Amino acid sequence: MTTTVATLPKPRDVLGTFGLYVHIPFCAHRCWYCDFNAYAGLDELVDAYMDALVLDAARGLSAPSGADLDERPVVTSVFIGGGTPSLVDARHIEGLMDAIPGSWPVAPGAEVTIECNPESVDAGKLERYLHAGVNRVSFGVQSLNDELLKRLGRTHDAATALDALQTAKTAGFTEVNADLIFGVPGESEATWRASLEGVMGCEPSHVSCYALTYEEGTPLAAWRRLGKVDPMADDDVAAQWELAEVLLGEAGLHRYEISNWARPGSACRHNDLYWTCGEYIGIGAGAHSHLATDDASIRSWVVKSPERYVRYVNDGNRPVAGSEAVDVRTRASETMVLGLRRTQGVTDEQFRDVVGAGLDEVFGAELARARDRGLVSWDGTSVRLLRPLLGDEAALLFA
Amino acid sequence: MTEPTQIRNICTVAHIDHGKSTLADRMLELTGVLLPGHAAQYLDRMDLERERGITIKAAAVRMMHRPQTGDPYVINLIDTPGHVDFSYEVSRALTACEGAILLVDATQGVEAQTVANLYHAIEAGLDILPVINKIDLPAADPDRTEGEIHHLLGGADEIIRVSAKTGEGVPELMDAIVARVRPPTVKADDPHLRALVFDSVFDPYRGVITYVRVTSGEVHGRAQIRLMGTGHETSITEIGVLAPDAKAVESLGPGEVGYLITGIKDVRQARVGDTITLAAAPAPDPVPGFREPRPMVWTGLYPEEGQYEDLRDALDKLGLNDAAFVYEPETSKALGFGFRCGFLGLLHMEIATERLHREFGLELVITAPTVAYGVKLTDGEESRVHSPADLPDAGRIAEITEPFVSALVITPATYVGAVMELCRDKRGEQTKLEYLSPERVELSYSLPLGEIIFDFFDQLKSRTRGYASLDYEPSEYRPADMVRVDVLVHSQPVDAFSSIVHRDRSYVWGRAMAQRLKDLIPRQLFDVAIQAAIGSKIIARETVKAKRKDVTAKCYGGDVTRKRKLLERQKKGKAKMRQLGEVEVPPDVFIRALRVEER
Repeated sequence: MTTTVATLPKPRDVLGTFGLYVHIPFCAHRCWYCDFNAYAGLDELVDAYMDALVLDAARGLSAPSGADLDERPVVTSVFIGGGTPSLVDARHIEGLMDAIPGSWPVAPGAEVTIECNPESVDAGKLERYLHAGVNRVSFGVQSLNDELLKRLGRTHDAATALDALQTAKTAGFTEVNADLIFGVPGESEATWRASLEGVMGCEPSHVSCYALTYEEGTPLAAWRRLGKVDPMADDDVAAQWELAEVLLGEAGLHRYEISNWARPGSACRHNDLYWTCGEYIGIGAGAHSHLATDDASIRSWVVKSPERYVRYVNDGNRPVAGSEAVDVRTRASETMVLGLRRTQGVTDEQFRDVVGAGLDEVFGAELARARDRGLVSWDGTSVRLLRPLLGDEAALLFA
Repeated sequence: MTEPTQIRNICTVAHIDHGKSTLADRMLELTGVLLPGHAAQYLDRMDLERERGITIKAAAVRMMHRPQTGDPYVINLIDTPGHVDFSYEVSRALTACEGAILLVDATQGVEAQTVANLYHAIEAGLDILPVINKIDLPAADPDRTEGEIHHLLGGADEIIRVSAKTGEGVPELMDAIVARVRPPTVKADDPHLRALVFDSVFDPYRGVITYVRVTSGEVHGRAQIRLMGTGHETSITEIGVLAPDAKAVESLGPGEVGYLITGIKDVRQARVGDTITLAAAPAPDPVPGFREPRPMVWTGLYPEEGQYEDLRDALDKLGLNDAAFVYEPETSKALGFGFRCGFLGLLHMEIATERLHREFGLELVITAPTVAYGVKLTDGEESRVHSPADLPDAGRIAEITEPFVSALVITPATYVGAVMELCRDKRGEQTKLEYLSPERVELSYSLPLGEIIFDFFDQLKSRTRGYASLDYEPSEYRPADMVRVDVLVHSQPVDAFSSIVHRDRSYVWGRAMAQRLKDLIPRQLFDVAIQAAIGSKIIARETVKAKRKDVTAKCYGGDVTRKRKLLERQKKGKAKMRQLGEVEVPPDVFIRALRVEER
């Protein structure tokens, strides 16, 4: 790969987007597959933590030094993720939603998402979210098969999940997402089909389908190592993804990223920030940021421990645990590795805007190779994955 | 010079781990050559030797034994290699001696190597001094062991019992060496120098050091000498003895053992078994028995990209102190430029490749070992083929012969059936079955070497729970119905996977090979057919289905760093892959694929 450009534009200027991620790490119970920064049994810390979040949002402490935040960019999406944000009392979410606009300019019509577990919401709570300014809810449904839910370590059942999706609509949410997991050992085509159809019966605007992964350090990975869990064969996992593609498409949801389907206009803007190498500030324990600097940009992450996070913020210190500079070479690579996950792929124009050189110029050989191997289509103006499930194979050429 | 009557030249024949090196340590201490507390197993100097607990290179050490009465004696202890691969070196070392200590572990009893080496010692006409070792151990059964030795020797020789560990019995052994081993016989009427080379090693500072036993005549410092086998002439820069460190002497006379340092820089010019004589007054004939080393096992060594020159330099250096190792350039369509290398046996091969890795830092692809087949063409031309790729078309071949070995197995009687079954499976022919004692049986077989070099030893050990021992030596070539089984990956023949196999077993082999490769070749972006073929006839087929999914899930909460690190790790793994046409395979697939049979 060759590059010729020295100064890089800010993604926020090119894309016109900027995200704010807020991490709420509390859970009632940890699921067997989960390796996110989430904690069960930390209830006593909730109040202090939520106060710290508000303080952090105001002062921008979670951003690394060197990040260009002198003039606070206009926020086009807010994502309250976890953990289980719906686990904390609704007043905390209201407090947070009150505080954000005082510290960050929020664009009119900005997308504001909160992640919820089906068992920790009710109509009252959802209505309070809506009134506080949240306009999108995302439910961790995962499956509509009670046996498989247990196997994943989820504490809700299918009826509760369906009820939650309905309640959100009744409460007035038009943007509702359901997260599903496929490739769970024991999942058959029939159970997977039933989950997809059941969810679509509630007419969500958005569905995410993720293949189960065995992450180091999770109970599920340990059971697999001990031979207690037999992972599904890759071919069967692939077939389940293909079934989702068919069924969701028939229901009018279009795939805009490898794992994400949405009704036209309902794609998750915050999610898209990640795939377009956009900028975002992540506040809260373990949150990640990607922010422009004077030369290029920086990726950073906050300390994982909620206790330490609270202590840092209350002491007025930056809770940043680590960071790495993204130079032009890395930006070019990330633009491909992440951008190829999007259905529309990467256009030469878009690439040129953020990298300062054309696709052909930077990745001519790699593109030709990817095309020769049948992984992508490349017509000189845009490159797209031909086989989304082999996305890593393509990404490797640009990594 | 020492009078021949005061010299005893001896060696030790023993099975591996029966305590040969420890006994040598005690003898050296007892004669004051070494002080107690020196490094254990003094004679095994090379790191690899010590790690593997075996002796690769023979060495000779001189000690002075002072009996209670009378004149002192010079005892030269010649250490012999302890593995079947080096049987020729053993035989030359035996020729340099008049006596042999037959050392048997009282906890193990007689083993295959004991017997094989004993037969060599008897053939060489040596006086045999049977010794039972490890009598200090609770598990020792010296009486049973004595019975086995008597059975072997066919008489009731007096057997000395020792503990090489504690030193018990070793003084008695020293006296017995003087009393029961004859002094060197000297042809007083033949003044010509004949010095048998029984070992030669390369020293980076001093060049080649040859270890010799003078059988007639005398050699003095600075003499111009000739190696009768190679015809090479050079002058001596130093004569010495090992006591046990090098000590220069004026001359060596009949019956004496010592070393010569000459201008030779390459051990291949001073081969084991050759005879040194004086250039000015050469002996009319050499000490009989010299022959060129005969590599028995061949393999292809292929370097990583850009390391070809490094590999050649390393092989050159390895050849300087290992005359039995041969190599020649070879080209593989699958693996590029490399070398075909010949070794005395599998252990020799493993040691050499390990040294290439360890001392020279080379990452090698090692192809499956093969033996050298004799090929007679229809036009009468004959050749040796030691690479499957070189086997001519079946239509041009009049006859193929394969090397056989005489194999000797000693096993507890309970496992006789299992051993016989294994040998039958490997196309063996039984030549002898004898009970050494009611519990232990000696079996002799003629076996194709090609069958032994794969997994014979592993199979023998597993079928007898580790109790059987094996020794073998090359015998003759016999006609055999051999065919070449080729392997095609994605329609491309992969020469590195070809094997020469007996026709009766070719289908089984081909199927096993295809199945094994199916498991070893990772899924690609397209279906990969794996076929085994004899000529144009496909005998087995497997398919590695195209991979359908590799994509990893979400990058949660914008943690792009983690995703990138994951990809970077995958990329590193990919960079190590070898390309077979369009198909990417891990580099160890070549050696792993050929460990196929019976699994």
